[in-house]
Amino acid sequence: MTANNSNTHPDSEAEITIDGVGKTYEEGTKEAVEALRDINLTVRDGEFLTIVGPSGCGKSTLLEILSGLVSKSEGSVKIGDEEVTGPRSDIGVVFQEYSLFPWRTVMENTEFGLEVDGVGKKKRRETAQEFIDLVGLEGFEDAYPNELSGGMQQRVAIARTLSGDPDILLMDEPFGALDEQTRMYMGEELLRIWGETQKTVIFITHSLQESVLLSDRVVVLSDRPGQIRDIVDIDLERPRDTDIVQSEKFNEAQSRIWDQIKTDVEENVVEGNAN
Amino acid sequence: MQTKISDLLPAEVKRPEAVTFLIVVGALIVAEVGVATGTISSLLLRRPTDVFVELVAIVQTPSMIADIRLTIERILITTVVSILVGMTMSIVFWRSDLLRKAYLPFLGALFATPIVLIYPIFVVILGRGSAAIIAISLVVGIIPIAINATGGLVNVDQTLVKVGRSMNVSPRQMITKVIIPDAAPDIFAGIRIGFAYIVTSVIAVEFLLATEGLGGRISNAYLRFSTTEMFVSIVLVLLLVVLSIALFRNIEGRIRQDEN
Repeated sequence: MTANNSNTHPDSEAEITIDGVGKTYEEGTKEAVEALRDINLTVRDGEFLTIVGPSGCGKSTLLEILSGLVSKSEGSVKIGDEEVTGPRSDIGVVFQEYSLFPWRTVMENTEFGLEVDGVGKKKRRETAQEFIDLVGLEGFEDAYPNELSGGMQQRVAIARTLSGDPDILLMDEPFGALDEQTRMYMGEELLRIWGETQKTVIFITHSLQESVLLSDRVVVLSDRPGQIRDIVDIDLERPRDTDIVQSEKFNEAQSRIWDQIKTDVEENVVEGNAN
Repeated sequence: MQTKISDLLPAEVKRPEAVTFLIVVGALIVAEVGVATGTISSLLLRRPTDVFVELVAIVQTPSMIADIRLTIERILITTVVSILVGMTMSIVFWRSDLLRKAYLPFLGALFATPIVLIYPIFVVILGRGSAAIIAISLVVGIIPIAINATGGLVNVDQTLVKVGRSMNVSPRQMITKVIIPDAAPDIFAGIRIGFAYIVTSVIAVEFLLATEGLGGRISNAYLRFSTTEMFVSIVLVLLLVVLSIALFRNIEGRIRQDEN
């Protein structure tokens, strides 16, 4: 396993500055819903950052704002010096389950981004093959998504996003639908891929264990409207593998995050709002 | 120990195609033997061998060739117009929530109504020829195509749309590479259903009007107690349907392969 110990790039062009971002959904005559309030955060280039929080805290909304898919109500998001105003090629998004095109094979799914960019057939096949190999799916190029397990499907989704060569990878609970063992294994795999590709990763999860295992820093969001409650530095050596979940440092970090979330979750469960 | 029927059959017979074939051949043998021995009245059914001999003879007559051509033409014209109109309607319904919510229930109700009952109105307006037959059949052809395609377009997977947007696809690419392929199974299902209704409707209206075309020929043979000719025409209708369904499958398979 190759891994990248230093997670700082020499240039810091892909630094993401989130400044006072808020989001309020106003739909027709319905009551306005404030999803996010005053989010301030700087994501370092090459960093692996995880966002956790109770259900419905606006994690996914924040990710969609960062990706340019959803507009923000206030504040600014900058990559380097440039404001994010819409989807851009240096940002890649990996969605939750069922995001593959079911009518395309693994190869054709992986090629999608290159195809819409007008890359020639031979070149895009080569590039796609490179990333199919990277995520460990060589031999499955001609399989259709419904022939693959959930974990394999998410590998394809990762390969598809990586093949567009984004600097920043936004991942919205990509392993949320997988069973615990597969999720741990995919986490390890993701660390390997991250080590080999040197991307900045912003990863959303509801698994505290996953957040500590993967991240340099964990951002804890509060219940709606989502606000930053805490930013936890994960001071664990890299390369990491799943064995560290038993270490004392790991558990300390995990309980610190849990303490921040606990009150919100308790309120939700008591009120019956948890989903 | 229990023995399954399928265990008794040799392996090459277990394929579904082989079973279908055996069912058809079996039914023909039952009919042949039944009619030959008098168990089945020859007024009800004709010996398949007689029908076959007659079929070969009648199919070559110019009037039969003309009837077959006419029916095929009517079906083809109705199908093409139904696809064009049905797809256009589905695009309008997809883009306009208001029109969709206003019109879809109405179309659904219309589809469940036997339109053929009002054929005299069509005949009074359009005469006893192709125009009336096509007009009635268009109603039953357009509706399932419009309803199914609308469903396919409206229910396009929003996650896939997001994937497309996150990869900066152009509006045109969004349509051709995301929306149409995702809606394609519903669109094709609608066309298949529409086509089946069109075939039934064209032949049924021909039958009602006792005019030219395969349906009219069946009606005439029926009125003349010419059981053999009636069955010959029915067999021709069957062949027409089986062939066109096979053709449809083929076209659909090709189009969906080309999508990639």
